[in-house]
Amino acid sequence: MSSNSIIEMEKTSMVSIKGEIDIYSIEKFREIIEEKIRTQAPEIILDCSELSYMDSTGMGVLIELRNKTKEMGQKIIMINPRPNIKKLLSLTGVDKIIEIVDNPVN
Amino acid sequence: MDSIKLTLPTKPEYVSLARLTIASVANNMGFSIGDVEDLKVAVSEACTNALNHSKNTDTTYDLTYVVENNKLVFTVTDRGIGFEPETVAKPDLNGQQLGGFGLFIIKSLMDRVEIVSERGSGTSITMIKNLSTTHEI
Repeated sequence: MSSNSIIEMEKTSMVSIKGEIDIYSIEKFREIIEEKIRTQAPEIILDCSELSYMDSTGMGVLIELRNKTKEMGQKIIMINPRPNIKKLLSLTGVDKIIEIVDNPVN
Repeated sequence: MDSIKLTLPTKPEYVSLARLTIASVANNMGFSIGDVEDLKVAVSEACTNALNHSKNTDTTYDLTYVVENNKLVFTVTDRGIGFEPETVAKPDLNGQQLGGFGLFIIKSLMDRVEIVSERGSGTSITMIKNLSTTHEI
């Protein structure tokens, strides 16, 4: 691993979120993101390509942790959320406060 | 008119069962993929509210799906403390008010929503989705 890639890894912390996020799985979801926040990486990237379902329980945690990371100068970015999830993010306005990226170049 | 009744334990792990059953019923009725997703969210939100806010001391709550000609009518009934729907504050993304999202989402996704709640005896939320709606995700 070159030093460049180490620097790159420190800049962003990425995690793939899979399956369903609801009242049952929410605490695990929270723990995963909180663990990434603790790395102090400025950008926490959530790869949502394989996330099939999320409801207001997940939105609530996203908003709460976004407010927390904002205070610490960190940013949460969601990559490739599916249309059903994008619809809810838009409906609730969460897409206005959390960056959503479709098909990132890298 | 077919009616399906389901009694679920008041445990979070069974909310996915509500989603599975409504998806199956809605698919059979011919709802679009987008509408099926909306129905899954609506029933899940109602179940989540029944578990989180009702302070239901009962070990179960009920779901009913009524398959009508051109619509699906479904009800989630708990035997919790009840609430006054008009007192639910609108969610605020930047503030501390993170509650109320469930009800807001249900009302946005469904064609009609009726809430009957009585202090001390529980809440019943009935949601209706018309089969002919044209909006898509």
